[in-house]
Amino acid sequence: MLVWSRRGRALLWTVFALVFVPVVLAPLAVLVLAAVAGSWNGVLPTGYTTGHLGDALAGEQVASLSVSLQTAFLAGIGAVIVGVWGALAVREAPPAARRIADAAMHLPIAVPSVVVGLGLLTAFSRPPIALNGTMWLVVIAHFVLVLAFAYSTVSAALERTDPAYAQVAASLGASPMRVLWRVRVPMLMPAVSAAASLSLALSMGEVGATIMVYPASWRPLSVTIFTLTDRGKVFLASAETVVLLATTVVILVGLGVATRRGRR
Amino acid sequence: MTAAIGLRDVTVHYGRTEALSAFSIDVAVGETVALLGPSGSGKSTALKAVAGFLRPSAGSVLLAGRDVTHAPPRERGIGVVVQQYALFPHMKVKDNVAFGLAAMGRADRRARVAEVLDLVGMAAYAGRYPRELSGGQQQRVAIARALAIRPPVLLLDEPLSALDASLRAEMVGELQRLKRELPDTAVLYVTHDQTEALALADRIAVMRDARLVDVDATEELYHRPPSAFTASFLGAANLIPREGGELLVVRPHQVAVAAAGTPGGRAARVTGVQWRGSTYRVTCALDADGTEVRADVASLDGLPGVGETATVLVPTVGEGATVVRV
Ligand SMILES: Nc1ncnc2c1ncn2[C@@H]1O[C@H](COP(=O)(O)OP(=O)(O)O)[C@@H](O)[C@H]1O
Ligand SMILES: [Mg+2]
Repeated sequence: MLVWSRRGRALLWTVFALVFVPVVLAPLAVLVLAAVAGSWNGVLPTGYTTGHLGDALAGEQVASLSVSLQTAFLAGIGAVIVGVWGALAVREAPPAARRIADAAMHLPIAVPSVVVGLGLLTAFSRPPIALNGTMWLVVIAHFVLVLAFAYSTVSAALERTDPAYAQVAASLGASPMRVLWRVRVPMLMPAVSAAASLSLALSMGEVGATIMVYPASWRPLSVTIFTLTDRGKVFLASAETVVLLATTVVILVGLGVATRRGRR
Repeated sequence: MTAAIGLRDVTVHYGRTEALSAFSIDVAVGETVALLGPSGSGKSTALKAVAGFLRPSAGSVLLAGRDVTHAPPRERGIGVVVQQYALFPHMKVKDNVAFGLAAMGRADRRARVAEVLDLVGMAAYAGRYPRELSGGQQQRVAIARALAIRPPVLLLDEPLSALDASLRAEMVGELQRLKRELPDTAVLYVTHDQTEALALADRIAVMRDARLVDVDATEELYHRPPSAFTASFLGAANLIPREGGELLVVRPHQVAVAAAGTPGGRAARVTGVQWRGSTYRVTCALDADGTEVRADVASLDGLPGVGETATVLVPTVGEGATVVRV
């Protein structure tokens, strides 16, 4: 704790509560309440039901969750692999090329997701590569959107790593491949895990680009929630959101635990 | 006999900075040479040129007579210990030490790991991770890892700088013992600490601003420093101007301080006194030209206090002082 005085600490907690409660906690609480609300006319729901959550875990909705998960895994794995490779490659490049490549890898952060969606739609909707109407357009859109975050997480970690580790490994006779797999990549594992978590979380919640490119056969949960809300089915949408949130949290915690185990 | 390490006019640039300027040195088989100089003088750069961690912009690097200027580090077979040790954090001590032994059979490798860990007194810690070790222990493991491959050349970059003073003194003793056990290993030892260089090196190369200033056998360089810079850097000598543009080189323990008016000395004023345990360091400013003179004396009895006038007694050239040109 950096703030020692009792008053300082009290102040800190107050500010934290003032920001955290209305901005983060209150909307979440309302969501959870709405997910189990029978009807809601006053300040609090007037009756409670598990019906929405039951619906949210049935048939079509579960299929939608599964689509979200598959998309997140495919796009996330792709983004982490390309992100790690990109970070390593950019680090080795001569300074001028390095600056250009670094900016290019960060570009998708600056481009609105709707633009990414539209771009992919126009680029891949006629031969030679016609992907519209397939799941791949969704996966590619997510890949493009999370890649920049995965890359920047890994490249920041790489920037902090002393080049001496790789140099010493090389002086001990290791080939560049051995240095990469036995020293550089393992040392990047915490950042790789963070990049994977970030990619997954971003992909699970992505709507902007997805809504422009998804086919009827591949509708992620985030889009389902959006359309439910649009049609006024707020309680079911809230229940779906709770399911989406819970699934994401479970996966992220699982990833965190696995990484910590791996480091031991 | 061919030198184990030879640097021939090696020049290194970082962008536009010249970090090493036409630097040449030889290290014979079994010899320890210290590169001594202030921070930023190019010591680590010289060591990296030998290890192959950077490419010289001119000059050549020879190992046992072979030109390796453009060979990658893995083809040089050199043991390197860097300043922060760079132990692989995700590997146990024994795996760190075994890293360079990939080409060996399993049984041989285990035997060699045990042998070098024993050599540095770390056998009991083979199963630990680096983060579970103290700085001194990490340092021993880094040395064991470098020695495991039986390198004919060992490079050490400020290996003791991350340790506290008492541990540093102990590790100097350890390194002296290691040197006796590895009589054929050529060692290049980078340091900014003159006591380490004096204790460990057969020869010392003094560096300043990317250049070699002086190189000679340790005792020779200490007792007869060829330049003012070496004299003051190695042994904190006083440099007192003489006629003819020369400087008199006098170590603090050779200087005596007495009451004002003592014959045969130079008039001065005491500007400071520091107790150093076994001696006092008395600092005086000469009345003649203000030159600062440091004296190490055993006792302050009968000596003038700070701010008072005094006499400084300096030996002449015949009595142990030497002379350098400015
Ligand atoms: N990677 C680098 N990039 C740019 N300049 C560097 C780099 N490494 C060292 N230098 C510069 O080169 C000079 C010599 O550095 P170095 O060999 O590390 O000195 P020493 O080891 O004697 O302290 C210094 O001026 C330093 O600032
Ligand atoms: Mg250095």
